[in-house]
Amino acid sequence: MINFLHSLINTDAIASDRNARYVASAVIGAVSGVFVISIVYFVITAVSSLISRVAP
Amino acid sequence: MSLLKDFFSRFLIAVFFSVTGLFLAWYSRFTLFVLISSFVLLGLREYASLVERGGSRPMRLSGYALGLFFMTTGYLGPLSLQHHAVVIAVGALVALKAVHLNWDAHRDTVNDLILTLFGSLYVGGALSFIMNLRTIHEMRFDVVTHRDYLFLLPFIGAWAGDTGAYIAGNLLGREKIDAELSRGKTVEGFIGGMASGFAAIYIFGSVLRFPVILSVAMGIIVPLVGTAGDLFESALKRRFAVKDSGTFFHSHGGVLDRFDSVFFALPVVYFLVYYFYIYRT
Repeated sequence: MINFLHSLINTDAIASDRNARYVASAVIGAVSGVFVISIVYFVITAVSSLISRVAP
Repeated sequence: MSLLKDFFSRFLIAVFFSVTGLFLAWYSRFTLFVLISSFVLLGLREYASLVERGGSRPMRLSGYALGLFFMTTGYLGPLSLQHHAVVIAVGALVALKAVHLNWDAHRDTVNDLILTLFGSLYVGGALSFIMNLRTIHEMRFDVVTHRDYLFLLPFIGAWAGDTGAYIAGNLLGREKIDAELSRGKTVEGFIGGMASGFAAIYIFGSVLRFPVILSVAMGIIVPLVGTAGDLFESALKRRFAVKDSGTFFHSHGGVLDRFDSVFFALPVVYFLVYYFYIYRT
């Protein structure tokens, strides 16, 4: 998936234009942040559920 | 290893340690204390091994004891107790070193003393703020919902920042920030890390029902200090010519590698929360 994204993003137009690279980096970063917080949400939900079963 | 394989290997290790860590953190305050204290000891061990490569002789046992001392004061009481703890610890360490000086007069005593004290504060002092963040809501925190999640905020900010920087840097990284400061860091990675940290913290802050200004302030400051922590640890490793501080987290490196951003972010989050919810009210 990342290789695919890499080939998609790494076009000459973005790679050669500094401003375009910065904007693309910010967009990729924001998407990564949402991805991380989604994973955190699932992990928190799973662990909370596990604890409610085993906690004294 | 390809970027994809490396990413998923890192991802699976992160999920494994997150689930185990979260379980112990929420099971009880004591299990959280034991978990973080273990990281403090491992981190101080890595730190001592690092500085020993430069010919210094930090006082390992005193450093471990001091790190655990900070953790214990964080576990037992409010921050004011820790202020006293720092003063007592510095006094005790100086006295101990004065005794040690009689045995080995040729060592660079002041250097060893400072390195030991710094290591204990850098690792033990910083991580003890996790205990403080767990206890701060017991004082007056009716506004915030899901209060038990508060201590996760610096981790989420720092690690989201790392992830964003890693992906954006790998995909688009061209301009090096500063070859002397860090060989691998790029401007594009830095922008990606800031954006990622901001997005994750802002969303998490909304879940905790932080005021918008606090979420925005944390979204900007935490990834920034996290990056500073990352660069600081990189400089430390480069100074002693090692790639990773340890291997505890496999491809993620050691405790210092994994917590480098968090060491700087934890006190900042604590004092921002303290300022907005306790000092101002």
